[in-house]
Amino acid sequence: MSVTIEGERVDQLLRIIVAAATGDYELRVPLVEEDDDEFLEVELGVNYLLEELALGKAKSDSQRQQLEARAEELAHQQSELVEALSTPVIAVWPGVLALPLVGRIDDERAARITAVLLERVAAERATHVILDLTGVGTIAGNTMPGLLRMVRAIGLLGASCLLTGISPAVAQQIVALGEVEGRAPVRALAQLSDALAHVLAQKGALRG
Amino acid sequence: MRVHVSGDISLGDAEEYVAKFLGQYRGRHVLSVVASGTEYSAKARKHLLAMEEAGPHATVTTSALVRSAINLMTRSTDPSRYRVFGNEFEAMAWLEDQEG
Repeated sequence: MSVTIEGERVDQLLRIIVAAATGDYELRVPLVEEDDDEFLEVELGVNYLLEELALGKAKSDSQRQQLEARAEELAHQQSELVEALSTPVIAVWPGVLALPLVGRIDDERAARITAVLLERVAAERATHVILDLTGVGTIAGNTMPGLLRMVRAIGLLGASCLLTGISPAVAQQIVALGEVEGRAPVRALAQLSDALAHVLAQKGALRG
Repeated sequence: MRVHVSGDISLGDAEEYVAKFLGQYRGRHVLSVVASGTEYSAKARKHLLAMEEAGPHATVTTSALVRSAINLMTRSTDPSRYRVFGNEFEAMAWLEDQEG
């Protein structure tokens, strides 16, 4: 089969193919009814291919947008969950709040814990706060003073603060800060249950 | 069966067409006269590939563009089941030679 094609038609087709190769699928080969030859099928075939590519791109763009929206929604949910889990203040007894801390504590988290805890102490007229550090691996170097300031603030609201589950590393951090920060009203006990027993004994003694 | 096709053929049109010729008119010989300017949407073109299982189909068109479109759609189909003609006389003659 031999077909003679005008150079202009070939140039036009090539320009459109090159544009498609750069991601532009919007151009189409102009089709003329009078060009009644085998090359017309090639031109139309290229247009069909471009149409498919444009449809595929639109579908892919739409799926990407859906995925991005879903990822954003999940990130928001995760952030809310982390926020809730990072300061799980529990009223274990009337007037007694417990805060089991897990993970690493940095300045931002310490500030959030302080804000939430002080608000709860005031709202519930708490007499005791038990900070359980069993799950705390590390406290950022400059965060410990912030936590100790929180303990003092709790004291200013009229509540006693008890620390439990202190790891050897955290104990050394507290001791190292002792000279800098002065005496913080901190009572330390081995376990959360010890602190609770201590508090309940105190409350019983008060009632008695 | 004689069918006249014109205008923009959508997926809905193609579905209706295929449903008829693979359903109640299955196996019938079809003479399809397609007007100049008829255009098939991408989804319609894909759906019409199912017509491969229909009876012998002769398309008549005087439009080079329509003929090119149908040639592209039927390029991979059995040439003994589908053919494009420039006039009805040749199309009818071919259809009569086909087994149902």
